[in-house]
Amino acid sequence: MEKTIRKFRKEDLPQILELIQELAHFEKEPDAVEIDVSILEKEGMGENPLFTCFIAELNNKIEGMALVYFRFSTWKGRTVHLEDLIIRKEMRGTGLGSALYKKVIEYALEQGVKRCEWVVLDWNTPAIDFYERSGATILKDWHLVQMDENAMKKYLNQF
Amino acid sequence: MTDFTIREARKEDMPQVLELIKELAAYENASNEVEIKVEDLEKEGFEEGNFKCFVADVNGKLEGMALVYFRFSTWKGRTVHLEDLIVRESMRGTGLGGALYRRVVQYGHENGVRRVEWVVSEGNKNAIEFYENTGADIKRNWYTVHMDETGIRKNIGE
Repeated sequence: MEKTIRKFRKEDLPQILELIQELAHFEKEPDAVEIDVSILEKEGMGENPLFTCFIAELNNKIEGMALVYFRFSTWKGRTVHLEDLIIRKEMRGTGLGSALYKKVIEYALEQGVKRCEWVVLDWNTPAIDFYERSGATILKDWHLVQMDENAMKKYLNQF
Repeated sequence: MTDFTIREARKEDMPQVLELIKELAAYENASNEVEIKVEDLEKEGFEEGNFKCFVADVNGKLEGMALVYFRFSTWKGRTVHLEDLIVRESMRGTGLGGALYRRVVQYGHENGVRRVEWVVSEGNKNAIEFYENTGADIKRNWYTVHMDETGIRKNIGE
């Protein structure tokens, strides 16, 4: 079994979207994915890409991906944010996930950032344990806040 | 009623923006966590375009700021992330915070994003209530994970 971790190419985008949809399905939110291949292409390719993506291949087939982008901390400066790390379900336990995880951390080191960050669901104990063992810190006292399109419009219409 | 202007920050505002960042850090007893310098803010914000900053200008003095940048959600596409919204302590309750908040939501709307997002400390009940009143959704079932430089190096075996 030949394992490859590499940077994504344009022709990988349909399979990347497939992985995103597989995860959304697994999380019982199949309709939550509002992006398509053209959005991945527009935002991820070109001169000022918003994200980059690493691909895990087994025998030349794409079985996983990690999508990352830069954020900006007013304390630490530029940071690397890991948005998604997805392994096809039947490929769990093959080491592809840790290989992608390591690739992301390597990327953060190469880029000279002071922090690599992501979020995890509070019930996902195996993941939390893994992250802690690898030297990450879990911040339990922050909530995410999201205002969606409808709320934005409704809020702005008051003025 | 305080007379103020909400405007985009200019490069020459960065010393005052850093002052606000440091004021917040001091308030949180975390002054030594601020590793950033004025030059970093100038370079990242005005040469590299890695963030955008709005400031509340009261007669030439900056009394508040909101710093935002784009993120990418694999479900929603481009989003606006609000990293910091800071109002000088002596100026709380003057409407500066609400005006900066509104400007950020407007910025999200202008840019056609499907989401504006940020984080809040779970103990900050007033803020949580304000956010909910404006239609934002508080996600309580996610933890934030940070790996700092020491953690990064540990994994790469240096």
